[in-house]
Formats: sequence, C-alpha cells, structure tokens
Amino acid sequence: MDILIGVGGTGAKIVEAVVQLATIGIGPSELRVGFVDQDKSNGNLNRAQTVLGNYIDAREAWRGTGGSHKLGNAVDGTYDIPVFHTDIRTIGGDDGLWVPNQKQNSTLSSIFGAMQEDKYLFDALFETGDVEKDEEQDMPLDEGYRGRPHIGAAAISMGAVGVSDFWDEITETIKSVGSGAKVNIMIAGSVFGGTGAAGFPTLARIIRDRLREEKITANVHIGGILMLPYFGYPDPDDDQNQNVARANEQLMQSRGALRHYQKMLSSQHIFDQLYLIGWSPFFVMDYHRPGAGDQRNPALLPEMFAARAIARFFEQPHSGDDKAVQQIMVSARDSETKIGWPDIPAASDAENKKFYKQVGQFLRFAAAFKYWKSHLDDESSRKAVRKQPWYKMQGLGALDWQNESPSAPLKLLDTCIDDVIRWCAMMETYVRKASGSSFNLWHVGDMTEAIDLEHPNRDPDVHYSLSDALYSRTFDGMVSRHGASDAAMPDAANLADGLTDSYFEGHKGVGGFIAALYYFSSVQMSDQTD
Amino acid sequence: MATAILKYFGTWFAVILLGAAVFYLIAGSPSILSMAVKTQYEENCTSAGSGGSFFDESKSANAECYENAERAIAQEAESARSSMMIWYFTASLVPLVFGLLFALQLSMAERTASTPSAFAALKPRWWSYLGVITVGGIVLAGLAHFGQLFDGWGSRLAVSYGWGLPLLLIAIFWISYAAGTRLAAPQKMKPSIPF
Repeated sequence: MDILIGVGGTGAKIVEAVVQLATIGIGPSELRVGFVDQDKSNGNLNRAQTVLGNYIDAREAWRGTGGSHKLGNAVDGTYDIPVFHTDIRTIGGDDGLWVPNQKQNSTLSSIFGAMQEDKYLFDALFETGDVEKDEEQDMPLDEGYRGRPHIGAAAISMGAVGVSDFWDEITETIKSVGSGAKVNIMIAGSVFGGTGAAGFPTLARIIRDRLREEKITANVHIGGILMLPYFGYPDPDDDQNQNVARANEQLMQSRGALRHYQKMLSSQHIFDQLYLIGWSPFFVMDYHRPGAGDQRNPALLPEMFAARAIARFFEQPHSGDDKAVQQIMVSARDSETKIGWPDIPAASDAENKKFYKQVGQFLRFAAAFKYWKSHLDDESSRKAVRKQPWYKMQGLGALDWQNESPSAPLKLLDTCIDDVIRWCAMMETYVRKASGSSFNLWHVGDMTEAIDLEHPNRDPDVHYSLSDALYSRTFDGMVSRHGASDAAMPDAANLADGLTDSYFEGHKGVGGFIAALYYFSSVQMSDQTD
Repeated sequence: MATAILKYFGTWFAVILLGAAVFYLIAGSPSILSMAVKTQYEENCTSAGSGGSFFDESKSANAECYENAERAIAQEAESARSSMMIWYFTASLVPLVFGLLFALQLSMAERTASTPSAFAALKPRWWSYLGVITVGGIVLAGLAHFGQLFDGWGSRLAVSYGWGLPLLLIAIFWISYAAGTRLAAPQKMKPSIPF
C-alpha cells in the first residue's frame, strides 16, 4: 500500500501533480492520498482536491464496475492503456483532509488552553504584542501558520493527539504489515512557508512514533519530498496585510530549517528516502495572498519533478540494504536558461525516455481526444460522420446512443484531460516567463486561453474542442523531441489511418475508440525501437 | 499511390472492355443503319426497274442488284462499326485520364488527411471531373455525327442508335469513373466518393 500525504499548500500542489501524472498513467497501482492543512479554504488545497475528485470520478467511470463504456477489460491486457491506472482513494474517506485544529478561530493560546507555570515557557517560545505581524499566541490559525513553522509544529503535534479517521486509517494501514503487506508513506511539503515546514518533520516523527508503539521495524518505508524555495512573492504594500510569508525571508528561513533537518536526520532515522527540490532563479508570482481561497498558485515545474520522485519512491522505496544510511536525494537541472526532456530527473536514461514517451503520448492523446470527441457530441455531429470508415471501424455506429450514451464518461475524461492540459500550460508559461528560458518539453498553450500573468491565481480555461487546423498543428508539434536526432513522430494523418484501419478489442463501448486514440498518439512509430 | 492507380486502371479497363463488347455486338448489323443509307443503296435497283435500264429485261439481274445493294449496306454497317469502335476507344481515354488524375490526387491527399473534413475534401472535385467527363462524352457524340474525324458514323445509323450509343458511352464513362475511383480510393478517403 502506498500513501501520500501533502502538507500545506505546496504539499497539496505536489499531490495535485501526482494525480495529474496518475491521469497520464504514471504511478503505483494503488494509492491513498491525504492532505494536512490548517487552512482548509486554501486555494492550492481546493484545486488539488478538485483535481483528485475529478480523477476518482473519472476512474470509477472508466475502470470501475458496471457501465457500458470501459477501458482495459482485456483478459491479457494486451491493448490496455495506462490512463487512470492508479486506484486512488482518500485517507479516512471524504475529502482526505486532516485539519490539525478543527475549532473555528483557533489560536495557539486556545489550543493549549489554560496554562499554569507553563505559561512562562509559552511566552518565551511564542511572541505576543500589539503589532499584528509580531502576534503569534493569538494569531488566527484558520488561514494557516503564515510562514511560521514553529507555530505549526506545536499546533500539529497537539492536533495529532486527538482522534480522527485520518490517523486511524494510517495506523490501521501500518498495522497491516503484520500480515505481510508493505507500506510506503511519502510526506510532501515545503521547507519555507508555514504549514508545510511545520508539518513535514512533525508528521514523519508522529508516524515513526506510531511504528515504535506498534513495534514495527520492517516493511514500512517513509519518504519525504522537501521543496526548497522555488517561487516567491513581492513584499506586500504598506496598506496590505503584513502578516504573510515573505519571499525575502524564505531563504533565511530555509537555511535555518535545513540546518535543523541536517541535525535531526543525522541523529534519527526518520526518512528512508528524502528528496530536496528547488529552482533557480525563483519563479516570481506578481501578487500575494496570505491564505484562504486566493492562495491559489499556478502549477510550477518543480512540482512535477517532485511527483516524479514520488513515483520513483513508490517503485523503489529503499536501497535494498536495510542497514544503509537514509538516502537524501537532490535534484538540480543543468542549465538555467533551457529545459528539455533529458533534464527531467530519472534513475536511468531508459526511465527518462519512458517518462518522455508516456507524457508525450498522453498530451498528444489529449489533443486528439478534444478534437475527435467533438464529432460525437450530439446527433447532428455524429450524423455528419457516421458513414465514414473510421466511425464504423471504431464501432461507434453500433453504440446505443440513446439508452447507453457514453456522454457522461466522456465528459469525466474530458474534465481530467483539461486538468492535465491546464497544469502543463501553467508550468510551460512560467518557465518561459522566467528569464526567457527555453522550454523544450511541450507546447500546449494553443489549447488554452492565454494565461494571465498578472492574476496567477486564475486558472486558464481549456478550449472545449479544437478546429481542424489547430488540431493538426497542435498534435504534430505540441511535444518536443527527446533528442534532436530523434526520428519524426507519427503525425495526425497516421492517427487517422490507425482509426480507420484498427480496432482495439478488450474494451467496452466507446472504450475501444479511446484506446485507439491513445495508442495512435504515440511519440514514435509502432515499428521504431530505442 | 501505385496501388490506387492500378486499381483504377484495372476497373476502367474491365468496364471499357465490357462496354466495347456491347458496342461491338449492337453495331455491325445493317438493321441499325439509317433508312436514308439503306434507301440510297436500294433505290438504284428500284429506280432501275421503273426507268427501263439494263435491269428491265432480267428478273435475275434485278435480284442481283438487290444482293449487291445488301452487300454494300452490310459493308457500310461494318464500316460504321469500325469507325464507331475507333471512336469508342479514343473516347474511353477521357475517363481514364480524369479517373487516374483523381486517383492520384486522392492518394496524395491521403498522406496528409487527418480530419473527417479532409477525408471528404475531394468530393467537389469528384463531381467536377464527372462533369468534365460527361461534357467530353457529349462533345464526342457530336464528333460522331458531325465532321469527318470519326467518319460521321453516328449520322449513318438510325437516330435511336446514332444518339443512343453515345448516350450509352456516357453511361459507361460514369460507371468506369465511379467504380474505378471508388475502388481506388484508400479506405480513409472513401468519404471523398459521393456514394
């Protein structure tokens, strides 16, 4: 069993990235996902939960039981496609969110309650005063810890003492190793900011403590994704709320936190694998929000790197040598001004190319799906093409469009595809914006409305469908080649040939058509090998 | 591309050959000649009988005259058929040229066609070529009747045959073009064929 816990807003963004990769088909077969955030209206968290919900719904529609339109029910799986391969569920049911301090208007003072002589220690550790930015003891926690991990660490530790479905499920899962199961737990958060920096080591320690309590010494592996500062805000204006995480404080804060981790990790075994991921120079967000729904930052490339690392951890959770020192991984790219597929971190060239093929194929599939689906949308659209060979070959003429319409599952798939395209568009835009870097992974900007850089909290809309010209241009050119000497990719005409000549057995209803679209969106010709 | 061209050529060849057989069987019989042509030969015998020429005195000579006239009519019919077959095979190059041209264009379009509208994009051209072929057939029908290019074979036949056979030719044009392009069209490009 694999478990992923995203701590804070950045942790939620990493969970979102993992879900997006799962849509693409990268990830473990089963995954339990949870969020830890004091600020439950945090925009990053909300978006991650929405994306996760979309994934779960779409997967149920295409891979669950019942229904007339399914993917991959082939007995031998020969023509199954990896999309929605991972069975993702939330920890503790519902939305998978654990809010350490549930009460409204919680403050550190209210969490600790009445204190006797401990009040002196409390005063020594946490500031109080009339100036808003200095207040810590009575700072409202509803919108997170505002870049103060020491507040978060105290609040989370207190919160974990209580009873919750979230912790109950984690504990039960950990106990399942007694029956021979293996459990991999990954915790993702940021070293800067508030909730993530506070929760990241605290949660890991809480889990280690529970392992000790249950006397479990094997088959549970804990990994960590620690995001170093990779984006920043300008300082707030004088008339704005001053009690916010500041970009210029992040580096200092991170340095201090890293020293703390160094000391902690050299004396305790907490993580079996730890990934530190940063970016230079920072991505600059041209706005600032202290928390709540407006703290909805655009997806950024380091988060995809983090998701890659998580996928790797779940595949290879430890070195194989139980006595080995805990592994600490650092990811860094070669050049500040350009990024291509070979720059994506991977354990080997083969793994790197596999990632390129999977992501590239999915993005091309996304363009193909957006285009071809529009011919199935309504009776008049279908009537225009129903005599065409591809339509007949894909079995679309034999479907009962009235009583067993695929509209609902197609819409769910469309929603998840939009989520991935939106995610990729944001990453692409911000890398290109950052010092004019050349971005040689993909170009999906034509599939979305222009991204408003002055309002990074607004997610771009994805076009409902593509015109003939845009489809052909996008499909043929949206994915950059892995290497300059790589052979040309199959084009949209090859895909059309495939739809006309081949049908994929082993799927139900319109699933065969989806599988064919995916298969013929490959980045390499079927007769090509590496 | 070569496959499409071969398929079209094969279909065209088969249809034209079949049509040629039909033409050959229909033509060649003196009965299809126009009355004017028959009369032209036979009136010599008739006018000779009433005019008191050298036929007057001998019934056998009169019969011989008719035999000569029938032979001449049969030769005339054979000559008309021969001219018609030359005309037929010459005319059949029209659907061959335009059909091959269309098959070629279809094959070239197939390489890059990636959308349902692109699959059907050559349909207007298919109709325009059919129109050109039909006009070609009409022009050739005119040439069969007027001018000496094909010995005016059309004008020597009865009206129903003189115009009926060119109409049949146009129908054969249509069949060879339609069947040929249909068979030659790559599966993906079938929507460019209007049926």
